[in-house]
Amino acid sequence: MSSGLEHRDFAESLAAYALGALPDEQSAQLRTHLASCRECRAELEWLRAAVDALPASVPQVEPPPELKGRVMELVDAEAELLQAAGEVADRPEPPARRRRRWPSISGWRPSVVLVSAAAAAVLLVGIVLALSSGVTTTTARTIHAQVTGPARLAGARASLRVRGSHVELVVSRLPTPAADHVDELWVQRGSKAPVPAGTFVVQSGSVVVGHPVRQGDHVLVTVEPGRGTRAPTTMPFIAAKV
Amino acid sequence: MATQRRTGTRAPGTGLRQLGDEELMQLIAGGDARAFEVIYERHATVAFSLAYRICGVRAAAEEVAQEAFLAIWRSGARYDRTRASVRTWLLGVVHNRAIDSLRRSTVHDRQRAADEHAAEHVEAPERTEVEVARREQARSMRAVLGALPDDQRRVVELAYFGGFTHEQIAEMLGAPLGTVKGRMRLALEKMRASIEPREAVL
Repeated sequence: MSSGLEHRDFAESLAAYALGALPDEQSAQLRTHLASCRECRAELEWLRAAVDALPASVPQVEPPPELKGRVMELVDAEAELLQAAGEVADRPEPPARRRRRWPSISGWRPSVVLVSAAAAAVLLVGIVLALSSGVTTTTARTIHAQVTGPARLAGARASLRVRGSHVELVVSRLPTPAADHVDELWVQRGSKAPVPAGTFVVQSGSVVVGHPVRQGDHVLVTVEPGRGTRAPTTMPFIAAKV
Repeated sequence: MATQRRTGTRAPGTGLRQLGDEELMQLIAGGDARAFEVIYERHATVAFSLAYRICGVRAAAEEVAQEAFLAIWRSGARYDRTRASVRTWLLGVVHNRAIDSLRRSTVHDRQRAADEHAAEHVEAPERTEVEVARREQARSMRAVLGALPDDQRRVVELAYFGGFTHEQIAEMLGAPLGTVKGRMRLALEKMRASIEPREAVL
């Protein structure tokens, strides 16, 4: 139970909280109080109905029709991906055979690569995020990508969308990398060292693979520190063969 | 062009259009794009209008509305019908994202956003009965806001549409923090009472 004074302080802040006007720290303190104070919860619920009605006071402006086109294009692409990935996800994972395909990966050492800011900047130039455009459902070929590790447990799905030499990685529900880390794309040809193909921090959407891809190449994704590295320092958690 | 891009997809059938928002959310959780399209059609105008009211710029409002609808689509499985209606949930997401977008802009833009009369508004044409009813609701809520004393309406607008904290508002208005909090409370209580009278407290 809170003391009377504390309760009164919190009660006086309920309207500001409902309007989103409390700074983060005070909001967190108030939420802790709400968990144990039925009176404040009831009062907040009462006040919140007024805040919920505020959007209705706004002059109604019709959105441009293109907005629906853009939203539905992404939604349709993701629905298609979910459907395709759902069928594969239900099958048992064949880990042993997949692992043997990239013998070079097990030899990657985390400490091998030190990245200069300049090198990172060069990598970043290659990044093109195609979140709101560039995903078409007409002539592209979709290839299922294997997702492993915690990303798989989190329900992440991935596929490649190939149109000629243009390749996009389409992901959904990807966990956000830890602070000061990014997801990095690689293109691996045969047994050669993987070549960096851009970094990204995207949970759901599509990312252009920033390196030419040929038939038979592997497209991989790893988590890398800072703004990306020039050689992978962790095991790939997304892999697909073009 | 839109029709060409959408080749291979179907427009939502009348069956889907007859479902309530909560039922559609269950289908969306299973990846049903057509169910989502119905939600979009139902709520796009109010969502865009709120985003535009806060951002004051069409391009930013479009971005916010797009992000909010995609967030609804991607988190369909996390929707909790016991907490809020789909519309309230969506508008909450729009509000949060619009305020985030606004907070990245300048203080000048935010003061403009809090001042409704400075923004350019092109009202949507009234086409359906639902839209007419919504327009009526908008007028009556504007009347409620308009009936508030200026100092109370101002703190609500600065907080909700401008994204300022109560401390920032106190500084801007040169008023004590307690006064600002009190005005917020009085304003919300009056608005709330105009929606429906307070029932006996449990």
